[in-house]
Amino acid sequence: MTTRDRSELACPSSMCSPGNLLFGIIRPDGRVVALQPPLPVTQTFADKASAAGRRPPEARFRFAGPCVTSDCLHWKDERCGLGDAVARTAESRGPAAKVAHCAIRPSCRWWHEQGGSACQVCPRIAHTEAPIAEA
Amino acid sequence: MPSNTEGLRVTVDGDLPPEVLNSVADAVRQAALERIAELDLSPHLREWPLAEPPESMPEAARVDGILDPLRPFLGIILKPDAVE
Repeated sequence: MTTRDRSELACPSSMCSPGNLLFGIIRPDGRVVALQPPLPVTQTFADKASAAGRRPPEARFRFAGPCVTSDCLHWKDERCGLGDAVARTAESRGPAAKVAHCAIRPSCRWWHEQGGSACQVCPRIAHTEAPIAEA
Repeated sequence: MPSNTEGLRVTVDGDLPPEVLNSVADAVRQAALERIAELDLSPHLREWPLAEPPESMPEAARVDGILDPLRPFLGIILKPDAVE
């Protein structure tokens, strides 16, 4: 853990909500292409991306938003359980490759907890395929 | 035209006041966002197990057994159906 306050860290698998950052578009091969720089999600974007008849934006894009720590079902043992799982998946794939530039890395929860291991698998992750239930 | 490995960069030439350039940049960003919002490039996905289930388990059960209707809620690992 660095000196950065944990509460300032960002979730790299967040939702399409105004104020969050759109940082990736999922390509036809399932890989995430990074937006450089990420674009702030506006209400207009959120409404348009979530319009009836479309698949949920979280199945088509990647968003970064504030890590909500214990308010997330993945929060386990004071860390992100999903990030742990992502890193384990990366480690099971063998030696790490060079990680690509990522605009959200400096504040990324997974990066701070897992280092480059999470970055190996992150470009193959989508938030969801199903519509997000209202909280 | 940019190649498929490049992004698209918009340049506005001219000796314009910063506030005008900022306004143009905001408009370009907004236009890009509106177009991006319509994109649906990703393949249909299904959950990819975080931990491999036993090989002896039938394929359908291996998938269904992993899916939990309540979790995960924020973030799941997926892979394209095409690579099955």
